[in-house]
Amino acid sequence: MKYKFAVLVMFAVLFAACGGNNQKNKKSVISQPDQSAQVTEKAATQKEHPGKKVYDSVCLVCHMADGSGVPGMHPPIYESDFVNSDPEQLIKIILEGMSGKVEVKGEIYNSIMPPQAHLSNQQIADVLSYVRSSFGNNSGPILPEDVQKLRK
Amino acid sequence: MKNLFPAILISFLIFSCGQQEHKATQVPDPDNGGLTLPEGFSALVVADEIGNGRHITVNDNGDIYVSLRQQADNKGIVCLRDTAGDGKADIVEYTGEHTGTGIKLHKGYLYFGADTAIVRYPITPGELVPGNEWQMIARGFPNERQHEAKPMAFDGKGNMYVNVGAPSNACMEQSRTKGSPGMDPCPLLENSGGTWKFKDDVLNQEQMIDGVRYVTGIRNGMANFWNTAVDELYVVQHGRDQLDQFFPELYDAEDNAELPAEELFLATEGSDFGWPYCYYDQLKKKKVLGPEYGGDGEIQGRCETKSDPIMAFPGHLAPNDLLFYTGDMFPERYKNGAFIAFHGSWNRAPEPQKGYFVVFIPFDGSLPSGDWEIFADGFAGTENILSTRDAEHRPCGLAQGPDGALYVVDSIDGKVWKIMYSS
Repeated sequence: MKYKFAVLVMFAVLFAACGGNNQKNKKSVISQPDQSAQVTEKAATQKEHPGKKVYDSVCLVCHMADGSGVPGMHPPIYESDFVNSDPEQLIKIILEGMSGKVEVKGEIYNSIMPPQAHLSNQQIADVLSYVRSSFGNNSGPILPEDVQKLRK
Repeated sequence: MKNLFPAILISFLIFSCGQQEHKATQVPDPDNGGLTLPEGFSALVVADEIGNGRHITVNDNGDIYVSLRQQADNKGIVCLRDTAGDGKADIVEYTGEHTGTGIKLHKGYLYFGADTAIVRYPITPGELVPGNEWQMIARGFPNERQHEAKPMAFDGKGNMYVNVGAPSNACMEQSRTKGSPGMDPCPLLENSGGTWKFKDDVLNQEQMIDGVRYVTGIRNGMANFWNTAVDELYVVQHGRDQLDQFFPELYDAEDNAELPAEELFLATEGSDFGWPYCYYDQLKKKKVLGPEYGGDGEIQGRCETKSDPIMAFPGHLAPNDLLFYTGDMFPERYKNGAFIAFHGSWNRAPEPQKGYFVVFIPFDGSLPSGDWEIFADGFAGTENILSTRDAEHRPCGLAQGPDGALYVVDSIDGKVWKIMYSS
């Protein structure tokens, strides 16, 4: 038990120092109010981000208000490799949808995400830019012309 | 392994005392494993962190089997045994190459609902872990990416009933896409959206050749149960999602959080419960035409002739398992009544999520004799659940033990509770 506790403490220190996260800790990390002015300012601008309106009306139903998804069904989009890596792949997921088993953060998700091609290029660019700069993601914006290029 | 000797010793002692001695020596956990229960009931945690538990079944000797959605230790079945007699599993073994939901002991085999087939693993009397040589019982089910669970029930007369969920929300031409019309007739009903009847002991049956469609119009029946008191099949259904998202002119977010009902069906042969054309509005107490088929939330149309549920619950609570209680441990009013494990919602957002509990419905004969009531709560570990992941545990499977206790398994960590009663 002592050893286990020591390891736990060590991990806790590591996580706190690196701002790291795992699924068990997710909730407390996301809901904890951050004291730094920079983050508060960012949160305020995110609230007025044009992509938030799209997210709330189209994406939130499955991916949840905090981007944590639904276990076994809808993958989380917080601190997500899918979100932060290849913008082309990300745009294609929105335009063409995605279904079948996918592994995210060590968990299997199996459901269907319908295509969202009915959204405008601007709406898709907005929502992806919003998601890529929220929920602990830290990637650059996506432009409407990036979306147009991938429309068939 | 180092604890094997005392375990063997204890198991000898237990065998010489007889199984009934378990009951007297089992002490509930001081906090009942985090559950809130009616007066006189208590609980202990049998096992924890065994995987993404789905359904659960308990053998006559107390051995427990849990199906997994996702492999743990590269296996899909968890086997639990309590050798100390304190109710807590001290042997945990993993076996089986399939993952899935349905799991029931029948005729000396462990039947398993892999998502595209029903298989069975042989059980050797006295041995915990089933043999590896599984047999194919029924196959040919559609390869589904949603609602793929395959629960099964046995009628004791040589038949097995398998729910086949429809891989769809409301049979729209383009799945879950705003503005896409509902297909009419819905072709998915040919091989899904209902319950199929098979022989319980014949190998290699094909759904569309050997299976008989027993009831239809069930979107996603995550559990079924043969109630031996009245010799009838019962099924619980997950109702459709996203009414407000696809039809904002007819429904708002609050409507969607409550509608449509989750339903308990008395599944008499030949019944049609109306999916995808209809849904049940528990506030108006009637089946109404779905908006994909021209409905406006009021008109009934063809739904007037569809079978109603015998009990309706608020929307999206996700009834994931069903059990009729036949034990002697619980008070008389529980006898032949139904327990339902609700997995808890996701499609109530942006309204708070709810329904992470086990309910009880008293029965008189084949029909409920009273309203549903929350029996076990506290699984989520918190009251305020905005996102599904805020719930610490989600009840998913139910089983009755040989002593009459009720077992509940959770899908997040595979926590297993044993709920007991003492007067």
